This record gives sequence, structure tokens and C-alpha cells, in this order.
Amino acid sequence: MPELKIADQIYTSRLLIGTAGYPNFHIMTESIAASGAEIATVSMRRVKWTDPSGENLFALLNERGMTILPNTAGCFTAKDAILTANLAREALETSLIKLEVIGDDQTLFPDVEQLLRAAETLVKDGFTVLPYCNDDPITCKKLEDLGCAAVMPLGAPIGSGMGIRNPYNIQIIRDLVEVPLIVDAGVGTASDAAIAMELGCDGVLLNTAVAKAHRPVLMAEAMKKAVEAGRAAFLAGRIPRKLYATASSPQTGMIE
Amino acid sequence: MKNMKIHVNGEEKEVRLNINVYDLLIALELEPIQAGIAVAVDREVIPKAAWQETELRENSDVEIIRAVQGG
Repeated sequence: MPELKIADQIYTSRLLIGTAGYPNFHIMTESIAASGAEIATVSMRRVKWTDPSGENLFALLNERGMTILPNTAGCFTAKDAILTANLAREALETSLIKLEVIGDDQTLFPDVEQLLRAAETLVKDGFTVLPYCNDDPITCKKLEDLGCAAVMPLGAPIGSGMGIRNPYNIQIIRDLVEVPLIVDAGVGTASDAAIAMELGCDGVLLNTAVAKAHRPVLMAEAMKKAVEAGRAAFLAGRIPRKLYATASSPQTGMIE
Repeated sequence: MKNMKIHVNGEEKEVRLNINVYDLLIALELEPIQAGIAVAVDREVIPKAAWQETELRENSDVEIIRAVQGG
């Protein structure tokens, strides 16, 4: 099955996983392994020198050969997101950036105006920009035109687990953009991930659905299978929906 | 030796006059050679290669960041 390609880098897995909110570090690493993901997201935050004993996430993900995808979570302006991206590039030696510019604390919906502004600057500065955006085809098209390496519309609000709330928009985005389309946020369980893939998405990025599951490692495994199954179903092509039945067994040669 | 006040990650710190970024990290008991941290002074990223030659001034605003768990 053709792989996921982001900025000339080939990934076998179409599942991208977050590293936040797991019961502990051990369950996080086990979950990442079970998910089969090759890309893991991290955030950039201030060093606390009062507690230098904290686990070195960067070293741990590196040791496991993961591609580290830093985010700009918590940034509310293009200016802050650009500085965070530059710090991430320096700290983690990667030009990949999951660009988030948040417009509101409660919904965590993107601020589209600031997002486009930040994307434009970061693309010019040589970043591989993967923007978290609304499920709005026009915004996605604009982000592609600016040179983003993928578009990552939300399925539903971050951490909501509400699934793919507007599958029709995701379908339109699929038709409109050529760069990889990755649903980022909203996935609550395996069927949500499968639906995203069945709609033609190139990948799914999720975190809370695994981290906060009753059994995170098992859910990570379920997500891996769902993404694979959804992709296969998309490639296979679903049958058209019909209101009435069509018999699948032969209607001749019946016992009389 | 004279001291000066700077801000590091939002906290006021008293440090040696004109201390450079590299020595500041040592003074804070952070390992400057460790991978995975980055420094900005007055909202400008200072590349690792320039840490030793970048001197801080009174009221410099220093941010030291690293990767943490995120989604």
C-alpha cells in the first residue's frame, strides 16, 4: 500500500500520535509502540531547573527512531507561534512544525487569520509547516497555496472525542488539495479514525483518544488497525448507498 | 565582581555582569551540551554555536525551552 509522504520523507504508518496526558511515561512509550506511529508530537515549554530530574522526552523519542513533530500549542498569535517554531527548530534540530495558532481558550479553534500569517512566514523561513486548521476547504486551499507540506483539519474540537463532525467538508477538502490531508483532533475511538481514512485522508493525528482510554496501549493498537482498515477500504472503493435491498444470493433455482 | 538582574523564564535572577548564555546555563545547573534545549534572548533565538559569545545585559529577557509531552 503506498505510504504517507510528507516533504519527501516516506512513512509506512499513517497514524501520527501525541505524547500528552498518558497515566505515566511507561504507558506512553508502550502506547506509541503499539500504535506503530513513526511521528510523535511534542510541545515546547520552559525548562524548570527546580526539577531537573524530568524525563528527557527528546532523547527517548530519538532513541526509538521516531520523527519528532513539535507543535506551537498554546500560541494565540502568529508572532508567538513563529518564535516557538524557531525555538523548536533550534532545540530539536528539525524543520517540521505542527503549526497551531489558537483563537479561543474554550473551543481551541484555530485563529485562521493569524494561522495564515504564521504559515506564510514559516514557509518562507524554510520550515515544513503542518498546520492544524478548521475543516474549512477554503482555508485548507489557502494553506496549501502558501506552501504548507500538509493540511490538518480538525474532525472535532481538540480532546472532545466527538469524531468527524463534518465528513462532507473533509471530502471536499480531499478534492481541493493535493498535499497530504491529515485529520488532527476530534477522534474518540477506532471507528472515527477509520471514517477519516475512508473519506480519503492520508493520515490521522490523535492523542487524547489513546492517552485517556481506559487501556491506552490496547486503544493504540485499535487505532493502528482502524487507520489501516480505513485506508484499505478507501482504496477498495465503497459501494453506493441505496435505499432498498438488492439480494446478494441467487434468485433462481429456489426449492419449489 | 559586579552583578546584574535578568529575567529567566519569567523569574528574576541575579547573575554576574555580562554573563554569556553558555555560562548562564551552567550557573542554572543546566547541562549546556545537552541536546533538546533552545534559548531566546529578548525574543530572538540564539543558536547553540553563539551561546558563548552572546553576552547578556541588565534586564535581558531569557527564555530556555525544551520539548515536553504534547499533542
